[in-house]
Amino acid sequence: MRVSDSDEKLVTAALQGSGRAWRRLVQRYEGRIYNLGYRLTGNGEDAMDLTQEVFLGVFRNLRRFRGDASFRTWLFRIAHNKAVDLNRRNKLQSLMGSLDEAGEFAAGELSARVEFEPDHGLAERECNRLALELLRRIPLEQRLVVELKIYQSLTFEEIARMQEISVNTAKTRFYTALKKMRLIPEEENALFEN
Amino acid sequence: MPCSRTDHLLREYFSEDLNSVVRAELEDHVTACPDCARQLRELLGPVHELRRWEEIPAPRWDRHMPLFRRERHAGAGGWRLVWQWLPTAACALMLGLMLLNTSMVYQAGALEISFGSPAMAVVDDRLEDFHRLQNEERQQFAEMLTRFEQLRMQDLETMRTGYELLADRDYETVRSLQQLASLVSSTEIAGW
Repeated sequence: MRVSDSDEKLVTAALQGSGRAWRRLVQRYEGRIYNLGYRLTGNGEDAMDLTQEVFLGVFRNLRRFRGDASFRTWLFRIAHNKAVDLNRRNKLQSLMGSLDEAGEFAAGELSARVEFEPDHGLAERECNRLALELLRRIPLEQRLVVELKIYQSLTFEEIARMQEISVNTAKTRFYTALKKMRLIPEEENALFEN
Repeated sequence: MPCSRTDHLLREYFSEDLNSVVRAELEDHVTACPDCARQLRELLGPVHELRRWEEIPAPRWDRHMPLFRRERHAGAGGWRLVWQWLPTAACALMLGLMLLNTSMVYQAGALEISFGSPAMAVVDDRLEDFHRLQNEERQQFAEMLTRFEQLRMQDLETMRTGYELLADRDYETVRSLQQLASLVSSTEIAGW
């Protein structure tokens, strides 16, 4: 199994029981999925949970991968769905937590859980801190569009298909997200000073 | 290009649908119009910042290798499954062969397989003979019973005839006695 083998080759080999092919496939994408998770959830623990769930989903559905779309697109579709699920779960947990503590609802969403983790060295880099701060300002549905557009370089049509929305909705979400993330000079300065 | 069009075009700025001519027109307009330039800068600012993201290496994890190995053994190879089911399959085969009375004989360099063994045919013949004998015996017994019944009826008839004869004789005897008695009584009267 060569490092340069295509995803489809690796999928076929993994389906035939090649552990090496499976390992290569995971190694090829785990970093991207982990970083996607980090950007969506804002913390390493949830990002790792998401990564594991995504690859578990890939493993469970590998036989269903027919190669109609590229493996990468298929993988990000799974990641997208898992991120939505994780968000829903966290929302519920946050809701349950707030009900337990105060007996009242709290508007729980991933954005509310995005907190910087000062001790996590690599995530601490200023550029990542700023990106996370910007992403925190937008809701998950917009964050997903931004993620897929900016980091995964998907077209609006691919994003729309993945999210089962219209192309115009995808564009609007992206545009609205950019407007919400508009850099305010004071904020920018403050972030860099920290 | 009027500023009223830029709002729509800025929305399309990141789209792959925006053709190069319109994009060039928009960029020309933006260089000349500070307001539109500010709007575009505001959109590009976060994009620029987000693109500065530095990849964080994923922590070490098992990559679901134990799961992969376990499922691969259960699914793709399947040998373990074969070994698990082999004794059961063998038992089922043996039972089937037994029920079909399958016999395999190796004769003159050839293997003959037949269903329904000769031994069973012998048993079937014997059973048939046994049934035939049983029926014959049953018939003989029935005939014997009929003969006994006839003999019994004959005996009863003989007995009835004998009895009637005996009764007639008794009657004669009684009559003779009566006659004798009347004779005796008439003699006494006559003065003997």
